[in-house]
Amino acid sequence: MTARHVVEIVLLAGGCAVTVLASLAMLWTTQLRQRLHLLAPVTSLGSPLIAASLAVANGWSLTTGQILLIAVLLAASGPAIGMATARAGRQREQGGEQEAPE
Amino acid sequence: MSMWLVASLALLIGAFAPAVYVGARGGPVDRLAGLQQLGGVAVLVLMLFAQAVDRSDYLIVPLVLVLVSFAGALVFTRLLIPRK
Repeated sequence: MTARHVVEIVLLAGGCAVTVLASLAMLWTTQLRQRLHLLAPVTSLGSPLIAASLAVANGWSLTTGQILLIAVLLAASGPAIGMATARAGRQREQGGEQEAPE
Repeated sequence: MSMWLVASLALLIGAFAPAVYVGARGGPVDRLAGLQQLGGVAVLVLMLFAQAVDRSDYLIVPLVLVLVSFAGALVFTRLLIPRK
């Protein structure tokens, strides 16, 4: 087992552990804001770790570029989506509950 | 079974399934939070699956999913805001 293989495994295990723990923690939360906080570990920590593991495995190539692009897009879009959802939740609280659109 | 396939299966069971459960219960905005978690986890699962089967051309699927789920989530948040 080479050092490169060990790095791949460590990064992959870390990314998977963060993602699984964040998703499982969502089951125990009831508040919207707590759930929105649990979106961040997946997009900002889990996906870069997994992408780094895949990048180490593939070396410098076009595939690695595509993997890193996906991770960057996921990390960039995650906070924006969380913020938009929190804003929608707050406006629903202020404006009263209504039925979801059909 | 490669470690990539094991990791994608672990994410499917440990992260995808809870996200589906969260996305199917509660109010509309709570379900939207579950859907967003589901999208992020699905991207990771698809990336790991493409690596497991050694088909780099499959990476176009998670790439498109990231963009589409971002746009979809913004549309859902717009629709969930009460009209004045």
